[in-house]
Amino acid sequence: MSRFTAPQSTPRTRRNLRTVLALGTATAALALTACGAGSDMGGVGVACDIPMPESNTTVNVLSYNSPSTDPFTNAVASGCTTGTLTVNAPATDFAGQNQRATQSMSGTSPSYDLIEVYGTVYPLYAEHGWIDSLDDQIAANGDALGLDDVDPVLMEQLQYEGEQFGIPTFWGTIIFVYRQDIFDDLGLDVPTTYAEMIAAAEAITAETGMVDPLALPFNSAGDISTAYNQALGSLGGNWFADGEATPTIDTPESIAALDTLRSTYLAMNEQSTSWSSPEVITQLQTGQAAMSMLFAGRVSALLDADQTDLFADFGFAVPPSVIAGGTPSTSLSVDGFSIASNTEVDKDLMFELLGVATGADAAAEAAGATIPARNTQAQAADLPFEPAARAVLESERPNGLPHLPYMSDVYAGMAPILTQVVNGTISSTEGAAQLQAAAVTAIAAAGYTP
Amino acid sequence: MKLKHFVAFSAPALLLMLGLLMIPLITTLVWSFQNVPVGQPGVFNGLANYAEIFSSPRFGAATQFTIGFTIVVTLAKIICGYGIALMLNRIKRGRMIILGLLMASYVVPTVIGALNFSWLFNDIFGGVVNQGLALIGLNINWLTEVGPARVLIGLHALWHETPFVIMVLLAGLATLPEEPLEAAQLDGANWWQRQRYVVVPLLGPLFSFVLLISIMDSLKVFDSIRIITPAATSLGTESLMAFVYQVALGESYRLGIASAVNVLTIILTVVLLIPFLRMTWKEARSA
Repeated sequence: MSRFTAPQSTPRTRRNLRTVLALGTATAALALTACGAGSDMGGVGVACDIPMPESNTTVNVLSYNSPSTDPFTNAVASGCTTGTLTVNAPATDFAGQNQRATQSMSGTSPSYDLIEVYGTVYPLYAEHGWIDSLDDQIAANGDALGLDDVDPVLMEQLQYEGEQFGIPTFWGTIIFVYRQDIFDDLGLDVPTTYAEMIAAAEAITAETGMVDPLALPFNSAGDISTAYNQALGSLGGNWFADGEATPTIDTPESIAALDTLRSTYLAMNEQSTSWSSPEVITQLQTGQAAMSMLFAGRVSALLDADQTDLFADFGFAVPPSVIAGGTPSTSLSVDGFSIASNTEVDKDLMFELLGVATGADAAAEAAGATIPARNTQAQAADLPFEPAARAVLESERPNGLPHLPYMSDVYAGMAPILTQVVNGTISSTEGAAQLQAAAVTAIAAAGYTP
Repeated sequence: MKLKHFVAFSAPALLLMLGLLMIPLITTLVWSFQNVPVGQPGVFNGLANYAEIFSSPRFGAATQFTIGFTIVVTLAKIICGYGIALMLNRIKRGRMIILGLLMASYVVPTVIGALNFSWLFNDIFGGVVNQGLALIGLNINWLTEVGPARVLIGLHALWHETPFVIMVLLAGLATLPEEPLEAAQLDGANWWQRQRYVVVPLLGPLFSFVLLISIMDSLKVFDSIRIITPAATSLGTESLMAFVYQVALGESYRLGIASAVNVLTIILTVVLLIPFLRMTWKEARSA
């Protein structure tokens, strides 16, 4: 054998390698099978009573997979695939949905026709003319949709410059979640300010030995930006000057909001900057934490007896304000469906499908996992967390993000700066200045001027 | 083989290569000299994208991390993989079962494996490793501090990709000729000398192969970073591919800038692989 000649494999070696690969694959398959258990199939049985197209037609729906969105997607994908109509809804995650939507709608060869939309993206879609204004369709055919059952505040969240670009499917505000049994045992009141919340955490630690009773989603990849929006809104601050692409996040309110994030972080585990909602929910489910603030659409996992033995012990309330007299520290999120402007499918058919995807039957299917936009189904579901979320929705400031096409650009650049403030690398004043500069840069990069 | 047969057999592969490799490559190169707003035709802007990249501290940090990660992880994979392969080669019974179990981490999709791996270091999900370290008084914030987060990404790469190195080198060890080893032993060579002067040279082509694969795998590290440290920018674990993803798809759809980073990454990859490509070329010529 020469120095650089590869050793030759024998039949026995090849058989052994096949055995190795088989064993590895079998082990992996076992793990993967376990991962796939319990996938949600809500909405599959929803009836689709619409006029069928005369020729074979395929409609593609783009919507990220989650227990909240799946019932609405399944309603149209499974229910309406019949006869000449085929409705596909390929699986995708949240990040993938945003990327695919942008790529599909910005070109001339659309891959998707019905698009899931939400707060930070739909203004961009509307501004670019990627999604249709629905005003004419609603005026002509809207009675059948029963949109008067949808709260006007939610409808407004999917409007851009006065026109309706989407129909809401579900919504959520950030609510306060707490272990009611512990609060009752210790005689604690639901906190109305952050100071009271931190005091309650200290009391729980002192009385029960729970190390980290307070767990908020503070992940440096994005949740920290939501936490900032909550605090800023509660303190009366604003992201931008009215009607101008000029950020206002170097104000005293913004600095105070950053101080709040820092002091709240100090009251939590130092690993909290790695926590998103799933990590926080796990802590609540396993009794590692007793308090949090979460989007209402996420908390149904706390009420599932299959997921936690503590399912009967949780209470839900309006979140505290940062300081006494402020508005609740919250954020409003509304999801819905829009019609891609570049779709090659007949627009009347698309509007019919939009009606099915956002309709009462789909809402009824979704009501076990989230708060549907339709009041009748939301109230019929009798969700324990719905009253708190609705109280926030009907409050002075439910605090949705501004409806601006550059909001997602600004939002994306916030997290690294906020993380530095939270972990004490830079001061709140310096952080506010950097946020302002980053926002100005992001707005300019997105092609807008003050 | 007649020319028409050669063309008939190779044409489908060439067309596929042209469509899926050359056209995107050329497009990337062109876009790297353009400002390309999503959904709109690009506008030539000269070297502006490259100038912006080279003045970006974030790009510099991503490049440093990627090169450092590639060097450290590749060396660690080779050392660990060779060591484990040597141990497995001495086992007479159950070798394939052990190797099969080791392969599980390689066969599992990176995203799922990375998620499960990170739970070993996350107190919320039990954190088995953390519990072990706590017994000796160590408390490490793997997911929120720069140094530990980088180590964690490297450990995942080792856990996920070392089995491939083990499998290749074990196959080589199993087929080594007996004579040179016996001769070295008769000449009085100890274990280290036999490895240094006989085994490693004989396995040279396989070492080149796994080095080549490991360097390419490390330069394109992305999935595990997205899963284990989604806040990569803050944690100093942003690789070049993670940076490209954020610029092109995650933040502002700046396709021109992202294309320029891709072009630079291709150049970096080629530079790092040149020694191994030369070695492979020489071997092919001498075969």
